[in-house]
Amino acid sequence: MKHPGERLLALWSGGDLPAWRAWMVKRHVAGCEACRREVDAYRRASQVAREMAELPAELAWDSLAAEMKANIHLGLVAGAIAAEQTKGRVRWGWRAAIAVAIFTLAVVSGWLAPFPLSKTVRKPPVVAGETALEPGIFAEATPAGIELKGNGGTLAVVGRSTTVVTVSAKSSGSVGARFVDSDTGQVTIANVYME
Amino acid sequence: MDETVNPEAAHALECDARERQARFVDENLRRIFLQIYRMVGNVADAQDLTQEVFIKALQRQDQIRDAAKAAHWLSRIATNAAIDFLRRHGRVSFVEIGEVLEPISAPASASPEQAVLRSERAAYLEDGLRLLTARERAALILRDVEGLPSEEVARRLHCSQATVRSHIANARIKFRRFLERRKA
Repeated sequence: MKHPGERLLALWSGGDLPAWRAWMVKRHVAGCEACRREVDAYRRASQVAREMAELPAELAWDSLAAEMKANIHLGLVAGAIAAEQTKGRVRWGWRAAIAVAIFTLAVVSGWLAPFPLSKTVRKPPVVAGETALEPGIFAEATPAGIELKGNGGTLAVVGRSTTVVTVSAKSSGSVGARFVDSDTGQVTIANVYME
Repeated sequence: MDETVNPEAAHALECDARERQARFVDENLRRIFLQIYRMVGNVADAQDLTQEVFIKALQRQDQIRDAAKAAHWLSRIATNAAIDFLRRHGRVSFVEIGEVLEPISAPASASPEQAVLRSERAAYLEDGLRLLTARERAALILRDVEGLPSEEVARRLHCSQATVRSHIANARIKFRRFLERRKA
């Protein structure tokens, strides 16, 4: 007589075999004392695991539950505050992304536009200008480039080593700059519009 | 369109949400704690994980509207959290119950003999479960201790029923051998 393997007996002891296999093992175990003892041993082991895994009777559950509830509440409040701050940062990032996209478009347009090239560059009449996007957030055009500033941080939208010919800042929320490459005389017009 | 929010209505909504949260915690806290405790094996870690699970769940208000579905969903989060914990820590780490109960103040009725018995029992289970992998341990606890059907265990562990059966068989064989060796 061939005995079922220990895996089959272990699974059958807890009723975890598919119907056909379960029937086969059941049939064998009914007539095999050795396998019946094996199955009993598995069932006893499961029983021991069940008994030992109970919550210790000595555990002061009420105190523990109260502590957990307080910590959960605290965690939720902290999470809400963090989420609020993240939301603010996201809004700033979204605006910056729009500004960068518009700027890129403006740069591409500037490169493609047929401007007269000149190697003679006059000193820029305006060297800096800024416009407020909203309280605390500014777009600034300087010889170093165009930057978005706000909340103590700066996002360089463009930085060029060329000379700035003109810089403009409008109250409607846009800044513009004309950059001239001192080597090639190439003029780049950048306008950043913000909403 | 008038988008002005009525403060009273907003306050009522907030109160309602808080009440729902409190009820949700009351109804599920013990069950989830016990489920995690069984898998990680000590009160301090079970407490931390339980709190994390509830915070994570309650941040998704939309998921807790249906109580039955929410309870099931919460169990799954708890199982995943416990398995992740076991993987990170490599094994179960039972500690003396007396140690973790110190700040909670155990009842005076617990005699020194009971305390010894308790720590021996915890150490015994620790040794046995240490032999199992995280998934074997989770399968054994969910199937044999929690009494979940193997289909549900498979869902919780994100694997097939055949794989779960394999985990259960391995776990039972290892645990049984451990008990027999200790007995001998």
